[in-house]
Amino acid sequence: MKRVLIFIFLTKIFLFAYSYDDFLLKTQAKIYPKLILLDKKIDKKLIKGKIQVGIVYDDDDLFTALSIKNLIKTLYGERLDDYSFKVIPIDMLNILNEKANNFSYLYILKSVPDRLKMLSIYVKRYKIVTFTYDKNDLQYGFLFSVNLEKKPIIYMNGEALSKDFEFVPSLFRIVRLIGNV
Amino acid sequence: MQMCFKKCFVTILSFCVTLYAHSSEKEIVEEILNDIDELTRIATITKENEAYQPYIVSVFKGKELEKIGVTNLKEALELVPGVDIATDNIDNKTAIFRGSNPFAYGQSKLIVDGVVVNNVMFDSYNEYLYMPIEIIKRIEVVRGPGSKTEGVNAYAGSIRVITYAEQFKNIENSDRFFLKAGTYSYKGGGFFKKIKKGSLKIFTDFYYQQDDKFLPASSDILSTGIYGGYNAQFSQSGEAPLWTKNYSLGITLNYKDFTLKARKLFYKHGSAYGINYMLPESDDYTKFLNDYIELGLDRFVNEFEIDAKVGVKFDEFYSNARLAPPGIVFPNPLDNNNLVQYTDGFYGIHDTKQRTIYHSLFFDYSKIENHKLKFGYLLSREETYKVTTKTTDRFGILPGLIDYSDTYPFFDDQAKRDSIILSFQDDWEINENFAVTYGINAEDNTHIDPQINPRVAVVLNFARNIYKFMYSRSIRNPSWQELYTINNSSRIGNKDLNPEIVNAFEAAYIRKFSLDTYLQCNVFYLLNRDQIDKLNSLNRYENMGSTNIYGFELEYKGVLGQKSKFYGNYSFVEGKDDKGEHLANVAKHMVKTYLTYELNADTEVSLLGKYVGDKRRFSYDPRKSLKGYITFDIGLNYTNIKYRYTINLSAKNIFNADIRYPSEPFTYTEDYKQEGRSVMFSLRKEF
Repeated sequence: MKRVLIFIFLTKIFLFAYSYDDFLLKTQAKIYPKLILLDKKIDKKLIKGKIQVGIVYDDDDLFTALSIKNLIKTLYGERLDDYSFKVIPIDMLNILNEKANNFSYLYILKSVPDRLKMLSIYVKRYKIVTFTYDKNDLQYGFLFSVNLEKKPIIYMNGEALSKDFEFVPSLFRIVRLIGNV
Repeated sequence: MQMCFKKCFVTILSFCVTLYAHSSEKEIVEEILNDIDELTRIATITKENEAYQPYIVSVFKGKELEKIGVTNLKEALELVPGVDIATDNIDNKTAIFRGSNPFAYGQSKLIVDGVVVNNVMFDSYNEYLYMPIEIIKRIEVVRGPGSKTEGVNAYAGSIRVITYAEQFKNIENSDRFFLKAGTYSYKGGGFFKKIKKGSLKIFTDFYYQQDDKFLPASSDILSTGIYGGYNAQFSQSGEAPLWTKNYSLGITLNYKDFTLKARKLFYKHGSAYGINYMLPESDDYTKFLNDYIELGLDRFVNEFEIDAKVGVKFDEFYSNARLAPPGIVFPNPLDNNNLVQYTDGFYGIHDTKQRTIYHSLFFDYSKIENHKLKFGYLLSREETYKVTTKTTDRFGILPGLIDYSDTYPFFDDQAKRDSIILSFQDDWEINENFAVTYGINAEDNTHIDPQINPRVAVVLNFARNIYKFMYSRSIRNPSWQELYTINNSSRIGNKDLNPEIVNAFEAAYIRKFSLDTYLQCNVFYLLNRDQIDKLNSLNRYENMGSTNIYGFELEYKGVLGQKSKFYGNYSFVEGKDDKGEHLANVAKHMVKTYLTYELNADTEVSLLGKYVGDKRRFSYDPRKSLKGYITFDIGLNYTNIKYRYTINLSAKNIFNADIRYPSEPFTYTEDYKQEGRSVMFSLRKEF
């Protein structure tokens, strides 16, 4: 673990902000919270009575994470349907070093493969429902990604679906299930 | 017992609250589907899904272009694959798409916030090419006649400029002001601002800019002897006045389903190389005014979305210049061709004002499964309502300027054209991988026989691969200059001109490697008929013949590591006319590319490179091929996220390459020289 932390520390100094497509961010900010409402286990996943979503960002992407938080706040306020709703940007390094989990849902921005692989282990451990910015990142075992093609397509990673996750059946009418990512 | 009852009541109540307070699963799914529909509509309008559109389109975002030091619309267009810029003797610049008739304007249309702004006089949009990049949200360039089925008759391409007036719910733009300064004493500034009061939304933008640019000009037309051996001695070379004063005010009002768009544009420019290709004086000028006001209604009525517009545009061409140097001898057309010597030179004021009134009504219907139908009509009347011609006394006797507006006008004051365009288009999504778009435009106007312009496009997408196949036919109506110029020896209008016609065959392959990275390859074959130019001994506009053009474009955009973004394109074009003459004045090879590199989260540097290849001459033009050029621009961009301002410093053409646009044969001995090394500083602040 120490070695991992050293590696992470070393890589940090070489990282820079990624580029994000504004429209895709806005699309995801609109759709992802509604997908949370299709989680059958939503009531069991409340943290301090709230739906708590973490936006996982890498190093210099804090500004992007904050703008997503503001966007979601503009769209949904502090309530998602009948639930209290909180969105918290969290640095990738911090979440990987957390001893306890504070999130049931994570929206994952871009990062390097090594960190995403470590994060995928973390989310499996805590049974976190995940949404990624980049559809390609589903290959690390994350669950949902909305990609902009001719229209926005909601991708769901069939391989990441386990008995720990349970969604309403009608979700499967609107997602495109993919196996080999 | 009471306690037990209370508990039961609370439990039942909680159950009921849970049951009814949460939206039902069906409602949420329905909401998501509605969101997807709305986002698809916005993505289609804003070309976010450009790769899937049934035409070949390049989209550039204003804010990305700002970062690489692009200053205005013209510089942005220079980045588009297959697009080159040409100019003429009054520095009336235009974009040339895929080598198609570099001596004609109007082969491409410029559409600003949905309004076609080409002026009636030349069918050009030079006065808009200097629109600062700061007020442009997005530029969409369709190569080929892709957008004609919406009533706009693009021929070689269409350029859509979208300002920050475009707003969507929850996707709003910040207000902004900017200041700029640069070489040639360039100064500029402007702002845009939105105001919202209930259902009323007001958006306004304004910019002003000026410079004092002069560039070297070679010996003018008199040196060729076309105006007689005696006059050759008066030929001049020197500094061509290319200075500019330009401002524009745009207003967009939205109230419920109604939209009012208005813009006033003023563009005053040095007379460049002279109306008659004789070098003018330094303070001589041309003025292009281009104003419009349009009222639109966008409303759902039953199953139809109705888009109705009514508008009026005014454009003016005004020239106040010395047309010939002191001592020149001309035949006097008012006096049996006797010769007159103009000892003080020959001066003139030429002014013509045009008005276009138009109305369009289009219906969108999408209740047939997998089909999106769009049909409607566009009616327009273009007319000249004022012509002023004042020149030096043609007899060379009286001082000052004499009004020849009635006796010897430079332009036909009866110029008028009524047009009707009927349009139908169906976007048929056969399945999620296969879409067909087909449509037809039928056009008739005062000057032409009815024209039927069909179009069909097939788009296939499999995983990350997108294939497009397109056929389209389109026409370009002759411009006012080509139809109605009179009493001018250097250009003679021809009311019997046929429209130029193109049959375009195009195919494209797009490979999307990731969200940020794609490769696109386009091939095209264009059959152009009835091309218009005045390259004949009479200088009369004629349908000179056909040209077949073919070529391809490669385009790549990607992220290199985490710090760099790269964009590059290469285009090749070749062709021949029906006399076996190769394409003249067209660069066969062009490369445009830029690279940005992030020094840290706030600061980026950029390198922009362009190569425009050699341009062959006409076989009868004795000059050697026009040499190609390579330019490099470098830029530094600093963004302060906290205080929301950006500073950009760019140096353009850092190696001072000799950039020249072709002059017409037998006019200026050398081609028109363009800017050398220059710098630009910009400050932008958002609110």
